[in-house]
Amino acid sequence: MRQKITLKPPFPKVSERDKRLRFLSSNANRSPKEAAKDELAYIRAYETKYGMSSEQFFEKYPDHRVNGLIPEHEWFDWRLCYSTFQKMLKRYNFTLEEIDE
Amino acid sequence: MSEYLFVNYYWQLYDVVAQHQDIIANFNQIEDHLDVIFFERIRWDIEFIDGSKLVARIEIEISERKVLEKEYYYGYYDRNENRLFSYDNTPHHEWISTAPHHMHRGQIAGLDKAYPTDIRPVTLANVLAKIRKFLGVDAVYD
Repeated sequence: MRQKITLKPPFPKVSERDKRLRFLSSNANRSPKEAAKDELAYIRAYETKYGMSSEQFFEKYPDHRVNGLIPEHEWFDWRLCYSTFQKMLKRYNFTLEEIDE
Repeated sequence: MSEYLFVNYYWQLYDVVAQHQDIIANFNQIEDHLDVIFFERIRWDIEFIDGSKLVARIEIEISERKVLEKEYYYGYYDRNENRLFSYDNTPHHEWISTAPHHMHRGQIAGLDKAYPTDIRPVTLANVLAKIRKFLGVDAVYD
């Protein structure tokens, strides 16, 4: 799983030119498969923490108002990771098995 | 093209956060400006000088060459992780005048009541402006 990037003030000022250069120079540094593996790691962490698969969890708790069972921000974060991962599988034609190997 | 639109969106939001850096202690980005291309979302936690925290989760998509915020969640918590308020656009409160956009207030106790939003539109910029007022800090960093 990737480490968080923490910035403390003063934040670096990034010029328009630098923004474009950063994009162009590092565009190929990361493969979609690596990104999908990272994503799955986040999902697995939630599944371990709450003791059920994402499918089970969101079937049981489709609404974020789950009366304190899980902090609201974690519900949203987990669901966002899950839906992003599903989109990535579809977009790049990955199977769960090849990402989860 | 869409990749550049996503990255450009990222930097626009970065600049919004940077405008409020005088009230920010830590700006935690779970992914960087390139990850937005793969994931099409923003996952930021912003900690403020009083220990409070904003959790921002935004799912984005491209429509007609523009970045749209398809789904969002902005949750503002005090230093003890008690929710002070949150905004989201989950479409489960159709009777609310600002639906699907709505807000929740205070810490969850029983059924969490939803209210019309008090900021429009609900954007990171407007949420940060509200937090600035909440913290009682007037001047905007330049």
